[in-house]
Amino acid sequence: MIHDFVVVGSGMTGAHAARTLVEGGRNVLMLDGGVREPAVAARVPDLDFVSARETDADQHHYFLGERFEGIPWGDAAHTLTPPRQHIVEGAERWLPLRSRTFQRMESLAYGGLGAGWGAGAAVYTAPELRAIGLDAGAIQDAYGVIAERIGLAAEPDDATPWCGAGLTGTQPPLRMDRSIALLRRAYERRREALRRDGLVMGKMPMTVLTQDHGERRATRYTDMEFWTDHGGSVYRPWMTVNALQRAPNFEYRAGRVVTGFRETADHVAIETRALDGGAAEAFEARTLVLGTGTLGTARIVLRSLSGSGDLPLLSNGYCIAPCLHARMLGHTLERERTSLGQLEMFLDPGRDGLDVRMVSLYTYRSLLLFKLVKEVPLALADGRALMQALSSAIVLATINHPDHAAAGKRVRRVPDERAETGDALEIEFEPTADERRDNDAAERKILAGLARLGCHALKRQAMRPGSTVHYAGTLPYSDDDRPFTLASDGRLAGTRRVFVADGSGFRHLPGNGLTFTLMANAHRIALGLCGRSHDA
Amino acid sequence: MTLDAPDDRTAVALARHLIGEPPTAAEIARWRDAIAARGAALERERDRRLWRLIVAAPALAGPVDAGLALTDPHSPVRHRLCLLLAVLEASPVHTRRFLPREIGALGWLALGARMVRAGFRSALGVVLVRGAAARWP
Repeated sequence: MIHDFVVVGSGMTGAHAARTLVEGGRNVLMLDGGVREPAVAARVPDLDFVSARETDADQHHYFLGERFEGIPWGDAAHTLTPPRQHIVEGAERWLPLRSRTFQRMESLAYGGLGAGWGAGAAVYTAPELRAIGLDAGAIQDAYGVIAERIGLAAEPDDATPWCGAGLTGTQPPLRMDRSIALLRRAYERRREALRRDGLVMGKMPMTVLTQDHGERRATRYTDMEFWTDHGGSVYRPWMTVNALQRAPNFEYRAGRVVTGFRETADHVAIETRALDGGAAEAFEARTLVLGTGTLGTARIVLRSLSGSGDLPLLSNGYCIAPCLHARMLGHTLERERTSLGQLEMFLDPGRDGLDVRMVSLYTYRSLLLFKLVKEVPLALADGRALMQALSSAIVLATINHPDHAAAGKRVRRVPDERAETGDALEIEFEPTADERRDNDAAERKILAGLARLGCHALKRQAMRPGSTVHYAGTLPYSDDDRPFTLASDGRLAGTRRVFVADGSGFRHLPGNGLTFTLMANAHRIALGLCGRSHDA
Repeated sequence: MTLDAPDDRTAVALARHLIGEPPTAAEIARWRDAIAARGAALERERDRRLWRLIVAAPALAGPVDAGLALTDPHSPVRHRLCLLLAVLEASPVHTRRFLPREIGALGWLALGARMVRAGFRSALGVVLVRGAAARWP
């Protein structure tokens, strides 16, 4: 049977490409890893964090994990909470990757990496969209469609030109907790001085409901967003796929990883392997839409097209600075709050909306104290006493830098006998000396700005390349149909029926998170496919 | 007691060192499971010696831990203590030892005094750990 459209992946791009195609009346088969939440996720009670801590005798199951996988050890790195560990399940086996420096996260989960997304929904500036290779007008329309679908909490403020321009019909913004509200007030008093240094502060649009939206409920500020999706207030792409499964022209097949494709005169043959057992199965489609994420798509394309060599790769530079917010010393955070980013700072060095640095500010409570204590250079007993006193005053500033293509940032396919698929991606990722210098200068300026607001950095921890989980740029948009590039409509050069809906085509990666733009671009590409005949 | 499965007495002494309260029987069992599951094995002679030292004299757990925090923060000895701390934190019995609390002037004074003592602990700990490392590398 030849399917009308096969969409690969249920993450942000696969889900929204599929939804647009289904709403356009097209028949869609979605092929997906579809790994579901572990059983421990069902143990998380519908309580706020403090109540769960005070009352639930079974909390160790989900806070620490059944195999204690929620107790990280070693160098600081992002780790998934036990109820979110399914996001990376099967990736080592089916998505092999070798690198000395690059820390990747890829997913075969139902909802992909979006199952653990931080919910920031940045609208890119027009210069950023041009640098990426996207048409600003088309993406602006698509932003509106996606915002309507998933619900956004936002309001205009100083940061709007850098992260939320043109959004309408949004819900009221998330409440700030005591610490962040104090920082915001300090910013308002020093706004002009900070602006002279190119710094502004405001709230990123968030895909968190503050009012009910369809079947999803408004947030109750339980501070449990890293542990559970109770009520569905934080948008996850599996919610879109759940809804699609009620449509008669949509079919969902889980448990498969797509390994390659082969285009013939009138269709695309899609090769898959079963996650459970590895059995091969082929599917046929008039049009194939890849929404497997930049690295996943690179793997599939490198296997499927002749010729190759290296592909470029983009990933944001990233640093975390735990800061001490002096005004919060001695005080506590309120019981009802959010764990998600609450306020952002932007540094626009050229004042041109390009090469903007984005800083998300988080307060610390619901990831448990011991993770902070183990980083303190004291005995754990003393570190516990110190962090119990200081944790309410800790603000985590995560600094995200833009990224540009460079010779030292490459991905290639290599043979690998140990891998289930017989090959692996190999990544070399070395930022240039200029990038390192510019990022360092930007970090110093940002932390100096925070210090003027009473928030003093205790440490500046550069994270390994790849740890933002933002990847792009392997098949850059190009007008000349060069091999291993994408046309502006998402078509893979050298093919007629293969389209890429994820971030593979982005020629530039802004410091702001790319997720909202990924969804909008997937919608744009799918909309183009709705208006196109399969044999066009 | 074996090195891989600490006994109840060790668990009680170390929990008192970490948070000033004893663990429940379930928490002790959970800590043993965590040590086994997370592979906090004492493979180096120095680590085995340091572990035996704090088991025999829990009062030295603080200095040893502090010394390791400065010289070898990812040591398996410290890993075991961190596993116990995590197990204690994820229990409603000890929640008040971990959740943030309002602190007044007296509280800051007490914390200041504790940090002074922590400084002495660290100094003693570095000597202990470096001495052990020199003797049993």
